[in-house]
Amino acid sequence: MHLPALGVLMGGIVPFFPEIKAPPVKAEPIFQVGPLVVTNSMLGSLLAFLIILLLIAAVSRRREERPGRVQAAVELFVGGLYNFSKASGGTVGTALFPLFAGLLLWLLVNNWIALIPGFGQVVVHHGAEAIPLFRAANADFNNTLALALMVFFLIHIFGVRNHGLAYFVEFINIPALFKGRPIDFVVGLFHTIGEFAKIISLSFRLFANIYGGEILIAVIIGLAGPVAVIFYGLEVVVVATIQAFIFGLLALIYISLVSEHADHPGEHGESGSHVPTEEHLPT
Amino acid sequence: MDAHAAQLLAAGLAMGLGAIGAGIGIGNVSGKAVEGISRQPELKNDLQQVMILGIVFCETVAIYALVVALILLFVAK
Repeated sequence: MHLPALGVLMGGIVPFFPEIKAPPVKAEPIFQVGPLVVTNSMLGSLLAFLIILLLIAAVSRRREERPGRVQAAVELFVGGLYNFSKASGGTVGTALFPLFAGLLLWLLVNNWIALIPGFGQVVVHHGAEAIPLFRAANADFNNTLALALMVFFLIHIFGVRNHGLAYFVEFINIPALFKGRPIDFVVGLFHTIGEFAKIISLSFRLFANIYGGEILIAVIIGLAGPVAVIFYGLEVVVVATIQAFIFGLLALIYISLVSEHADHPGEHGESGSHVPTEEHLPT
Repeated sequence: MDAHAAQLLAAGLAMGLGAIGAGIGIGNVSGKAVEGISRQPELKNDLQQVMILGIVFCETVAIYALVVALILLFVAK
């Protein structure tokens, strides 16, 4: 007996398992507040916020000198993140810790609650069709695009803060034209394109992985029944964790790269240091 | 072959062919990282971080392919 048939057989044993459909690409609107259309992915992200707030309230209310089991676990987690951020963020590692940890924690909770069975099965009825009340926030491209844009602007704000207006020489290299090095000017234009590619790759990486996970679960349930999904579900959990981690890590690394103090920000590659610079990293 | 069939076929081909390169890249990166870690286990944490970054950048190529496939499937008329 091959595996899918076994899966259907075992799936048949579990009664009343709700039908799981792959979500459409667009998040569905639930209700409207003035001009703001509230979609189910926004409700999902608000739920994640609520859970994080409750967690923080629960953990920080009972702080003790000798930590209990929960407090020790949380301290281990936050301390680990802090050390990691310090180690990989270079000179601004500690300053960027709140950004890194905040992004990571929010994405992690968002990605994880979407994998709890029953999360997508809470439905509201709009006329004849039933619309899920919650949806994984990162399975909606609007959410990941907003995060990617935030990181993009932060990168360049930090760049300008550290190098002043000379920061833009890396992208629009007008001095090179006067020095008779037009190639450098063209290279700068390619850097500009590369910067905008960061938005695409950051936002689509997260969106595609989470949305792909949702589709994978739906397809496997359709093919082989709810029991078989456990094996693929494990992979989806791992992917959800890694992607949350990677989004925070990339934000940290991009920002720390533009914050390195170089004398000539336009000429990273020639400084002879082996600190990885912007030019060496693709998007 | 009508236009819609060609669209579906193109989406499948884009994703499948795009995944080949990313797959090879990710395999190379993790394989070399395993070699490095087994040679110098004390560098495990550093190597792991570099490995994850390398994997992410390889994966980006597949993501571009996925974007093309999604556009073909859902946006292009």
